[in-house]
Amino acid sequence: MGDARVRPYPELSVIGVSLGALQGVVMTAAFVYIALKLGFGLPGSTVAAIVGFTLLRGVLRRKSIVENNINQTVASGINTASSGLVFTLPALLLLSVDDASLRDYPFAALIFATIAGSLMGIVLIIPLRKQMIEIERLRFPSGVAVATLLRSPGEGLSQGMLLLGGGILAAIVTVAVNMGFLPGLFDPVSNVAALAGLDIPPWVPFAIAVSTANLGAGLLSGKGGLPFFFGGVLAWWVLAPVAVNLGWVEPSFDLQGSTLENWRYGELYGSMLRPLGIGLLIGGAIAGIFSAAPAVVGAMKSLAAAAKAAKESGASPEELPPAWVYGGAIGAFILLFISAYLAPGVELGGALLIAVVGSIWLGVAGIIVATATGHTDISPLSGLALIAVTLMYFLTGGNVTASIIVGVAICIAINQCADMMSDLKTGHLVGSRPRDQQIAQLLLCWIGPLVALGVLFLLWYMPGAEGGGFGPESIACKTGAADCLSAPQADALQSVVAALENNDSAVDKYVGGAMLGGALSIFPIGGIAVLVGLAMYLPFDITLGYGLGCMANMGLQKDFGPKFIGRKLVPVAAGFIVGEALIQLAWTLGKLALGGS
Amino acid sequence: MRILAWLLLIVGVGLAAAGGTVLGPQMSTARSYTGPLGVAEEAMSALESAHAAHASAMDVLRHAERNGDNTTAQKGVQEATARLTAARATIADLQATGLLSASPPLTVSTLKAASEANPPPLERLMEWLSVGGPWWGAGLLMVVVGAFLERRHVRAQSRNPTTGAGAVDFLGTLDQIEHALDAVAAQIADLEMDGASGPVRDELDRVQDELITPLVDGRMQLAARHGNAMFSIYFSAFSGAERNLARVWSALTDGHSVVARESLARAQAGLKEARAGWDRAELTLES
Repeated sequence: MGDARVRPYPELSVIGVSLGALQGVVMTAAFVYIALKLGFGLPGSTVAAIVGFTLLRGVLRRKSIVENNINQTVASGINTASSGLVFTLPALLLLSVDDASLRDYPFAALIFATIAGSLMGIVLIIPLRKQMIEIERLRFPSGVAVATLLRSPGEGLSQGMLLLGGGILAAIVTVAVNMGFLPGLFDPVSNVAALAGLDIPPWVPFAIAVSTANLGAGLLSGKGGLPFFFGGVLAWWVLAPVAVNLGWVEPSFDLQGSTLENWRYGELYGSMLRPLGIGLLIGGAIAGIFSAAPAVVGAMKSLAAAAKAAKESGASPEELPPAWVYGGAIGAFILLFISAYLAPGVELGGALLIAVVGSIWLGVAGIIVATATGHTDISPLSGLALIAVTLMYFLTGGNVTASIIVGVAICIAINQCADMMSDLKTGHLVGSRPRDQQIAQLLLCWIGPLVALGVLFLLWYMPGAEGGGFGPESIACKTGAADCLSAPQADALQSVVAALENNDSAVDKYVGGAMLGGALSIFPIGGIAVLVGLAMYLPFDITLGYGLGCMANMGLQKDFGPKFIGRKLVPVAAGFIVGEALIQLAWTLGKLALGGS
Repeated sequence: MRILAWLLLIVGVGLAAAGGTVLGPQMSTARSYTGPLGVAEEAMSALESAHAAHASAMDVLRHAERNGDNTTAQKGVQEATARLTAARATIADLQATGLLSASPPLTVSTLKAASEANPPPLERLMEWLSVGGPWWGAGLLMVVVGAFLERRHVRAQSRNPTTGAGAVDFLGTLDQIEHALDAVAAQIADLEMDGASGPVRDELDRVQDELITPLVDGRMQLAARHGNAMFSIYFSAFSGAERNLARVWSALTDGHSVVARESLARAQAGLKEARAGWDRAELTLES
């Protein structure tokens, strides 16, 4: 048979890539500002998918789901630099206000570090794609939500209505929370106990985060997310009461009432559970590397075999050949080495050691973040960046500048890992060729770092902002002006650096947690150590909300079967995730435009 | 045996985590000063705020005396009073801690120094091991034993024809999928560009929901049967076929029948590769 008119089926197209790049640049600039102002980043994939849908399909009448997937892949890939950079580099700038020696950083070192991080994050993921997406079948709730969105033109009306319904409900809840009509935390047990005159201390929490996105992630994860919930139960309903009752959390002088209980909560979380959780994450990831190594080696061999077979048959390969992976990894390593060498006070041997250890840590952390995001949609980025800076601090003998410069690379890389893997999950669900997504991101990964650096320094060196344009000590923040950018994440890293200089690094927790994580990984449940560690790392209100979603999924599956989950629950949960992300973005931009904070 | 494995896991994780949570004596002492330090710093800040409020109130009163502006004076005094009240409450908290009657007297700076008296990393690690190590070590051992028992159980189950990987009928499911795809191929063989494809996509959804998803859900049994390395070879080919089926669905939605047919052919080839991989894995098992 012959087709009368055979139009091309655009996928890796100039229009798709250009739209993605444009969106990525705009989002990066905006999100750098938002992160400095408010302390959190926003996901780019959902926004980019919707804009792409509107422009590509609606305005330009280009009917290609896979082209829109490339658009959102490129946009979110460029945008990942924003949160990775904003968590780390501002700390160096803020520290340099009082310490002139920290102002001596070559700008070239920062450029090389950020591009190295962006590149390395992508090449790390290429051989892990098969393991995480095809074999372990990590859920990547946001990736599933974006795929549901992209596929909506072909789904029936009822599925579209479910997606829309979930989105509308999410929008209502998010607006209600932001306006104060609903509390951000719903604490049913403590509220009832208070009515009965009972006092439940904050270190036995029952609060649930009121977030449809969090609930949606749990709904999509189902049984696979339960270890995350049980980790939180262990940490807060078992360990915390045991620790307090055994006298492990006693102040040196008499604190009273809520002062005492709040201090106990802070100590339990900050000095005990959180660092133990980070240790579990590390141990789980390292054990995961060993157990996945045969499959990863097999994946590299199959990449080579697929490339060879495609070349012989003249067909276009579905995967990138290994030469791209090796070339990208070597290129990124060289850039990281150069950036370390350019940092003040670092010699050749030191730079090589930093590059090697930094690359290894980047690999481990990238796996942790991709696994955690894959199960729960939550990324322990700040904790892992903290470890990166700690490691570099010890390796460099206390060189703060070098530590943070390399920390920037690692932070961007691990963010890129999670984002790329989520995009590849979306690609798997809509039928995109992995090779096309990977090429698009490899070719454009340098844009995000440059834009983010440019915007950050523009804001730092604002006219009239002597001593720095952002941070708690900036003129705008000291005078309480509306344009105060308090950079809370940088503040957090600043205090980490100060803690390191005071010997306050939770080495015992990291080692103990890592070995427990390694042991736990022997148990034949995928990602169990990472999930339990993540639950200890996070506040319990997030874990509890997510856990309720998991249990709801299991209950619905038992009563209505797996088809119900796929056809009804998935679009509703996707709507929850998409709706909250969009409304939160619109709300944030609206507040900034109106001069609030 | 399985119950024992899970019991060991749960108790072991609890013990190890408890042992891991405890702080060594020096760290515990240092951290115990952070709470009182917080109260002392807050009291200092409240005193400074009260002092500033008092100075401001004096300015306002002098200004009011000169200009006869009683309203502004009243507001200024109210604000100063509020800040003084807050300072009193904070100082009462401070008094309750016993810090003010400590001997020798403690200041914010001495409290800060005490809270930062952290041992160096290696010493911190050794101290923790001496206190939490035994519980942590015992818990770790229980977790490892429990994990190995569970792995043995899963492997034994996978070789059981009624409850093991035999219950996940890989070849049988593959047959059904291939049969369904042959029918789909026939339906789209003559489909024009932008032709109606709703029923075909519905059939692809059925294959995904009723055949592919249950197989994916049971994959750990297959992995236990053949080992990760062999399993990943044939399951990867199967997953590639699944991705190409998703591409068929997308292409049909976008009205591109040519790409749909090409992707379907790749999916069918992937399933053949998965079948060959399974056969090789079974041969390895038998030998």
